[in-house]
Amino acid sequence: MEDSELIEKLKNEDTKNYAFNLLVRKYQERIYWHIRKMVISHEDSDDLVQEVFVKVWKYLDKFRGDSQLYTWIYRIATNECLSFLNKKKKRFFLPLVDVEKELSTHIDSGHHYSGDEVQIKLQKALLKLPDKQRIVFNMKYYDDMKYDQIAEITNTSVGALKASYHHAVKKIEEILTNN
Amino acid sequence: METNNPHKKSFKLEDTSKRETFSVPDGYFDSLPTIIQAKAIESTKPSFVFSKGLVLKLALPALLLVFIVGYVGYKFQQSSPITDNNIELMLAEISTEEMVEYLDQTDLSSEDFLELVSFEGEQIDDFSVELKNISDEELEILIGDFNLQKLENI
Repeated sequence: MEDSELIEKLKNEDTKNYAFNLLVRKYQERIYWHIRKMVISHEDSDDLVQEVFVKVWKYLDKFRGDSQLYTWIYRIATNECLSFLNKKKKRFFLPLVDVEKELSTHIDSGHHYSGDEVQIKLQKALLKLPDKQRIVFNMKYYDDMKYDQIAEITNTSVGALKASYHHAVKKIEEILTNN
Repeated sequence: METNNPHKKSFKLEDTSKRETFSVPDGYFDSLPTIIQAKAIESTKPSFVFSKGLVLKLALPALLLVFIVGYVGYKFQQSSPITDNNIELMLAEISTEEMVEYLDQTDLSSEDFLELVSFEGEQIDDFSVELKNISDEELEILIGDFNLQKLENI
Protein backbone atom coordinates (compact mmCIF):
# COMPACT_ATOMS: atom_id res chain seq x y z
CA MET A 1 0.00 0.00 0.00
CA GLU A 2 1.25 3.50 -0.89
CA ASP A 3 2.12 5.87 1.95
CA SER A 4 -0.51 8.39 0.87
CA GLU A 5 -3.22 5.73 1.14
CA LEU A 6 -1.79 4.60 4.46
CA ILE A 7 -1.96 8.15 5.80
CA GLU A 8 -5.57 8.48 4.72
CA LYS A 9 -6.46 5.28 6.57
CA LEU A 10 -4.48 6.38 9.64
CA LYS A 11 -6.52 9.57 9.84
CA ASN A 12 -9.77 7.64 9.82
CA GLU A 13 -10.73 6.33 13.29
CA ASP A 14 -12.39 3.22 11.79
CA THR A 15 -9.29 2.14 9.86
CA LYS A 16 -6.59 3.62 12.12
CA ASN A 17 -5.63 0.39 13.92
CA TYR A 18 -5.52 -1.63 10.71
CA ALA A 19 -3.48 1.02 8.90
CA PHE A 20 -1.03 1.27 11.80
CA ASN A 21 -0.49 -2.48 11.68
CA LEU A 22 0.27 -2.20 7.97
CA LEU A 23 2.62 0.71 8.58
CA VAL A 24 4.57 -1.27 11.21
CA ARG A 25 4.81 -4.27 8.90
CA LYS A 26 6.02 -2.06 6.05
CA TYR A 27 8.75 -0.23 7.96
CA GLN A 28 9.68 -2.38 10.96
CA GLU A 29 12.67 -4.10 9.33
CA ARG A 30 14.21 -0.96 7.84
CA ILE A 31 13.81 0.92 11.11
CA TYR A 32 15.06 -2.01 13.17
CA TRP A 33 18.27 -2.36 11.10
CA HIS A 34 18.80 1.38 11.13
CA ILE A 35 18.66 1.30 14.94
CA ARG A 36 20.58 -1.95 15.31
CA LYS A 37 23.60 -0.61 13.41
CA MET A 38 23.72 2.29 15.83
CA VAL A 39 23.10 0.65 19.21
CA ILE A 40 24.50 -2.80 18.26
CA SER A 41 22.66 -4.85 20.92
CA HIS A 42 19.48 -6.64 19.80
CA GLU A 43 17.78 -6.06 23.15
CA ASP A 44 18.35 -2.30 23.02
CA SER A 45 17.27 -2.21 19.38
CA ASP A 46 14.10 -4.10 20.24
CA ASP A 47 13.22 -1.55 22.95
CA LEU A 48 13.99 1.37 20.67
CA VAL A 49 12.10 0.12 17.64
CA GLN A 50 9.02 -0.28 19.84
CA GLU A 51 9.51 3.22 21.24
CA VAL A 52 9.80 4.65 17.72
CA PHE A 53 6.51 3.16 16.55
CA VAL A 54 4.72 4.11 19.77
CA LYS A 55 5.83 7.69 19.10
CA VAL A 56 4.64 7.43 15.52
CA TRP A 57 1.22 6.32 16.83
CA LYS A 58 1.09 9.09 19.45
CA TYR A 59 2.12 11.91 17.14
CA LEU A 60 0.30 10.82 14.00
CA ASP A 61 -2.00 13.83 14.34
CA LYS A 62 1.03 16.12 14.24
CA PHE A 63 2.35 14.63 11.00
CA ARG A 64 1.51 17.39 8.52
CA GLY A 65 2.65 15.53 5.43
CA ASP A 66 5.31 18.12 4.54
CA SER A 67 7.84 15.30 4.38
CA GLN A 68 7.36 11.73 3.27
CA LEU A 69 6.09 9.27 5.86
CA TYR A 70 9.24 7.14 5.87
CA THR A 71 11.42 10.28 6.23
CA TRP A 72 9.41 11.25 9.28
CA ILE A 73 9.71 7.76 10.83
CA TYR A 74 13.44 7.65 10.06
CA ARG A 75 13.86 11.02 11.74
CA ILE A 76 12.14 9.77 14.91
CA ALA A 77 14.32 6.65 14.86
CA THR A 78 17.50 8.68 14.34
CA ASN A 79 16.63 10.97 17.25
CA GLU A 80 15.86 7.98 19.47
CA CYS A 81 19.24 6.41 18.64
CA LEU A 82 21.22 9.57 19.28
CA SER A 83 19.49 10.30 22.58
CA PHE A 84 19.90 6.66 23.66
CA LEU A 85 23.65 6.81 22.99
CA ASN A 86 23.96 10.20 24.70
CA LYS A 87 22.14 8.89 27.75
CA LYS A 88 24.40 5.86 27.81
CA LYS A 89 27.48 8.08 27.86
CA LYS A 90 26.07 10.37 30.55
CA ARG A 91 24.68 7.58 32.73
CA PHE A 92 27.97 5.81 33.16
CA PHE A 93 30.12 8.96 33.07
CA LEU A 94 32.14 7.17 30.46
CA PRO A 95 34.29 8.80 27.81
CA LEU A 96 33.45 7.96 24.18
CA VAL A 97 36.11 5.27 23.95
CA ASP A 98 34.50 3.23 26.75
CA VAL A 99 31.05 3.22 25.14
CA GLU A 100 32.77 2.15 21.91
CA LYS A 101 34.48 -0.64 23.86
CA GLU A 102 31.16 -1.73 25.38
CA LEU A 103 29.44 -1.85 21.98
CA SER A 104 32.46 -3.63 20.52
CA THR A 105 32.18 -6.29 23.24
CA HIS A 106 28.57 -6.88 22.13
CA ILE A 107 29.84 -7.70 18.63
CA ASP A 108 32.50 -10.06 20.05
CA SER A 109 29.89 -11.90 22.13
CA GLY A 110 28.52 -13.33 18.87
CA HIS A 111 24.96 -13.15 20.20
CA HIS A 112 22.71 -12.46 17.17
CA TYR A 113 25.67 -11.75 14.84
CA SER A 114 26.14 -13.51 11.56
CA GLY A 115 28.80 -11.43 9.80
CA ASP A 116 32.18 -12.75 8.66
CA GLU A 117 35.50 -11.52 10.02
CA VAL A 118 35.71 -8.55 7.63
CA GLN A 119 32.17 -7.43 8.46
CA ILE A 120 32.85 -7.63 12.17
CA LYS A 121 36.04 -5.61 11.73
CA LEU A 122 34.11 -3.06 9.69
CA GLN A 123 31.46 -2.73 12.41
CA LYS A 124 34.15 -2.25 15.03
CA ALA A 125 35.86 0.40 12.87
CA LEU A 126 32.51 2.19 12.49
CA LEU A 127 32.24 2.43 16.27
CA LYS A 128 35.29 4.70 16.23
CA LEU A 129 33.35 7.33 14.28
CA PRO A 130 31.30 10.05 15.99
CA ASP A 131 27.62 9.01 16.32
CA LYS A 132 26.30 11.51 13.76
CA GLN A 133 28.96 10.57 11.20
CA ARG A 134 28.20 6.90 11.78
CA ILE A 135 24.49 7.42 11.24
CA VAL A 136 25.15 9.26 7.95
CA PHE A 137 27.52 6.50 6.83
CA ASN A 138 24.94 3.80 7.63
CA MET A 139 22.16 5.53 5.71
CA LYS A 140 24.36 6.09 2.65
CA TYR A 141 26.35 2.87 2.62
CA TYR A 142 23.93 0.25 3.95
CA ASP A 143 20.50 1.79 3.19
CA ASP A 144 21.55 3.27 -0.21
CA MET A 145 19.75 6.50 0.56
CA LYS A 146 20.22 9.57 -1.57
CA TYR A 147 21.89 12.59 -0.04
CA ASP A 148 18.75 14.73 -0.28
CA GLN A 149 16.77 12.07 1.60
CA ILE A 150 19.43 11.93 4.34
CA ALA A 151 19.46 15.73 4.38
CA GLU A 152 15.71 15.75 5.03
CA ILE A 153 16.03 13.23 7.87
CA THR A 154 19.03 14.81 9.57
CA ASN A 155 18.11 18.40 8.74
CA THR A 156 21.62 18.94 7.31
CA SER A 157 22.83 20.32 3.97
CA VAL A 158 23.73 17.90 1.17
CA GLY A 159 27.23 19.38 0.97
CA ALA A 160 27.89 18.74 4.66
CA LEU A 161 26.61 15.18 4.30
CA LYS A 162 28.85 14.45 1.31
CA ALA A 163 31.88 15.73 3.23
CA SER A 164 30.87 13.72 6.31
CA TYR A 165 30.46 10.51 4.29
CA HIS A 166 33.78 10.86 2.50
CA HIS A 167 35.57 11.55 5.79
CA ALA A 168 33.93 8.48 7.29
CA VAL A 169 34.98 6.23 4.36
CA LYS A 170 38.55 7.53 4.54
CA LYS A 171 38.77 6.95 8.29
CA ILE A 172 37.34 3.42 8.05
CA GLU A 173 39.71 2.42 5.25
CA GLU A 174 42.60 3.81 7.24
CA ILE A 175 41.59 1.97 10.42
CA LEU A 176 41.09 -1.33 8.59
CA THR A 177 44.30 -1.00 6.59
CA ASN A 178 46.30 -0.48 9.77
CA ASN A 179 44.43 -3.20 11.64
CA MET B 1 45.49 4.47 0.05
CA GLU B 2 49.13 5.08 0.82
CA THR B 3 50.61 3.37 3.82
CA ASN B 4 54.08 3.33 5.37
CA ASN B 5 54.37 -0.45 5.01
CA PRO B 6 54.63 -1.49 1.32
CA HIS B 7 53.55 -5.08 2.18
CA LYS B 8 50.39 -3.90 3.93
CA LYS B 9 47.28 -4.41 1.80
CA SER B 10 45.10 -1.31 1.65
CA PHE B 11 41.51 -1.83 2.59
CA LYS B 12 38.95 -0.54 0.11
CA LEU B 13 35.36 -0.26 1.19
CA GLU B 14 34.09 -0.69 -2.34
CA ASP B 15 35.71 -4.14 -2.47
CA THR B 16 33.76 -5.32 0.53
CA SER B 17 30.39 -6.98 0.21
CA LYS B 18 27.50 -5.36 2.08
CA ARG B 19 26.56 -8.51 3.93
CA GLU B 20 24.39 -8.11 7.00
CA THR B 21 26.48 -8.49 10.15
CA PHE B 22 23.60 -8.78 12.58
CA SER B 23 20.81 -11.28 12.99
CA VAL B 24 17.56 -11.46 14.97
CA PRO B 25 15.84 -14.31 16.87
CA ASP B 26 13.65 -16.57 14.74
CA GLY B 27 10.19 -15.14 14.04
CA TYR B 28 11.11 -11.79 15.56
CA PHE B 29 9.54 -9.66 12.81
CA ASP B 30 6.38 -11.81 12.80
CA SER B 31 5.57 -11.03 16.41
CA LEU B 32 6.85 -7.44 16.55
CA PRO B 33 3.76 -5.72 15.00
CA THR B 34 1.44 -7.28 17.61
CA ILE B 35 3.71 -6.17 20.46
CA ILE B 36 4.01 -2.65 19.05
CA GLN B 37 0.28 -2.34 18.42
CA ALA B 38 -0.55 -3.39 21.99
CA LYS B 39 2.02 -0.97 23.40
CA ALA B 40 0.81 1.88 21.21
CA ILE B 41 -2.82 1.46 22.24
CA GLU B 42 -1.78 1.17 25.90
CA SER B 43 0.23 4.39 25.63
CA THR B 44 -2.81 6.45 24.63
CA LYS B 45 -4.96 5.26 27.55
CA PRO B 46 -5.34 8.02 30.13
CA SER B 47 -3.38 7.16 33.24
CA PHE B 48 -3.13 8.82 36.61
CA VAL B 49 0.50 9.41 37.34
CA PHE B 50 1.85 10.82 40.58
CA SER B 51 4.21 13.45 39.32
CA LYS B 52 6.37 15.49 41.67
CA GLY B 53 4.30 18.56 40.85
CA LEU B 54 1.02 16.82 41.60
CA VAL B 55 2.29 15.41 44.90
CA LEU B 56 3.42 18.89 45.95
CA LYS B 57 0.11 20.39 44.87
CA LEU B 58 -1.83 17.89 46.99
CA ALA B 59 0.48 17.83 49.97
CA LEU B 60 1.14 21.56 50.29
CA PRO B 61 -2.28 22.63 51.72
CA ALA B 62 -2.24 19.74 54.20
CA LEU B 63 1.32 20.56 55.27
CA LEU B 64 0.40 24.22 55.63
CA LEU B 65 -2.61 23.36 57.79
CA VAL B 66 -0.53 21.07 60.02
CA PHE B 67 2.06 23.81 60.38
CA ILE B 68 -0.52 26.49 61.29
CA VAL B 69 -2.34 24.27 63.80
CA GLY B 70 0.98 23.21 65.34
CA TYR B 71 2.22 26.79 65.57
CA VAL B 72 -1.02 28.13 67.10
CA GLY B 73 -1.13 25.23 69.57
CA TYR B 74 2.48 25.77 70.55
CA LYS B 75 1.94 29.53 71.04
CA PHE B 76 -1.21 28.93 73.08
CA GLN B 77 0.56 26.44 75.32
CA GLN B 78 3.45 28.85 75.80
CA SER B 79 1.19 31.77 76.72
CA SER B 80 -0.97 29.82 79.21
CA PRO B 81 0.83 26.89 80.79
CA ILE B 82 -1.48 24.85 83.00
CA THR B 83 -0.12 25.09 86.55
CA ASP B 84 -1.68 24.68 90.02
CA ASN B 85 -1.60 28.45 90.45
CA ASN B 86 -3.51 28.96 87.22
CA ILE B 87 -6.18 26.48 88.24
CA GLU B 88 -6.63 28.19 91.60
CA LEU B 89 -6.93 31.56 89.91
CA MET B 90 -9.45 30.22 87.42
CA LEU B 91 -11.53 28.66 90.20
CA ALA B 92 -11.37 31.87 92.25
CA GLU B 93 -13.07 33.70 89.39
CA ILE B 94 -16.08 31.36 89.57
CA SER B 95 -18.74 32.37 92.10
CA THR B 96 -20.04 29.88 94.69
CA GLU B 97 -23.54 30.08 93.18
CA GLU B 98 -22.23 29.11 89.77
CA MET B 99 -20.34 26.18 91.27
CA VAL B 100 -23.38 24.95 93.20
CA GLU B 101 -25.55 25.30 90.11
CA TYR B 102 -23.00 23.37 88.04
CA LEU B 103 -22.74 20.58 90.62
CA ASP B 104 -26.50 20.45 90.91
CA GLN B 105 -26.91 19.96 87.16
CA THR B 106 -24.01 17.53 86.86
CA ASP B 107 -24.61 13.93 87.64
CA LEU B 108 -21.67 13.47 90.00
CA SER B 109 -21.77 10.86 92.73
CA SER B 110 -19.94 10.92 96.04
CA GLU B 111 -17.63 8.20 94.67
CA ASP B 112 -16.62 10.58 91.90
CA PHE B 113 -15.64 13.20 94.47
CA LEU B 114 -13.75 10.68 96.56
CA GLU B 115 -11.85 9.46 93.52
CA LEU B 116 -10.75 12.98 92.67
CA VAL B 117 -9.96 14.24 96.15
CA SER B 118 -7.57 12.66 98.58
CA PHE B 119 -7.59 13.79 102.16
CA GLU B 120 -4.87 13.30 104.70
CA GLY B 121 -5.49 12.63 108.41
CA GLU B 122 -5.10 16.22 109.65
CA GLN B 123 -7.32 17.61 106.87
CA ILE B 124 -10.10 15.20 107.86
CA ASP B 125 -9.81 16.40 111.46
CA ASP B 126 -10.06 20.04 110.31
CA PHE B 127 -13.08 19.15 108.25
CA SER B 128 -14.68 17.50 111.28
CA VAL B 129 -13.93 20.57 113.40
CA GLU B 130 -15.60 22.77 110.81
CA LEU B 131 -18.67 20.52 110.84
CA LYS B 132 -18.76 20.55 114.64
CA ASN B 133 -18.90 24.33 114.61
CA ILE B 134 -21.74 24.50 112.12
CA SER B 135 -25.14 25.59 113.36
CA ASP B 136 -28.28 23.46 112.95
CA GLU B 137 -29.75 25.93 110.47
CA GLU B 138 -26.62 25.90 108.35
CA LEU B 139 -26.62 22.11 108.47
CA GLU B 140 -30.20 21.98 107.24
CA ILE B 141 -29.30 24.19 104.27
CA LEU B 142 -26.23 22.11 103.55
CA ILE B 143 -28.12 18.81 103.61
CA GLY B 144 -30.81 20.31 101.40
CA ASP B 145 -28.22 21.07 98.69
CA PHE B 146 -27.10 17.45 98.45
CA ASN B 147 -28.74 14.68 96.65
CA LEU B 148 -29.73 12.42 99.55
CA GLN B 149 -30.48 9.46 97.39
CA LYS B 150 -26.87 9.31 96.34
CA LEU B 151 -25.62 9.71 99.88
CA GLU B 152 -27.53 6.62 100.91
CA ASN B 153 -25.20 4.54 98.82
CA ILE B 154 -22.04 5.53 100.59
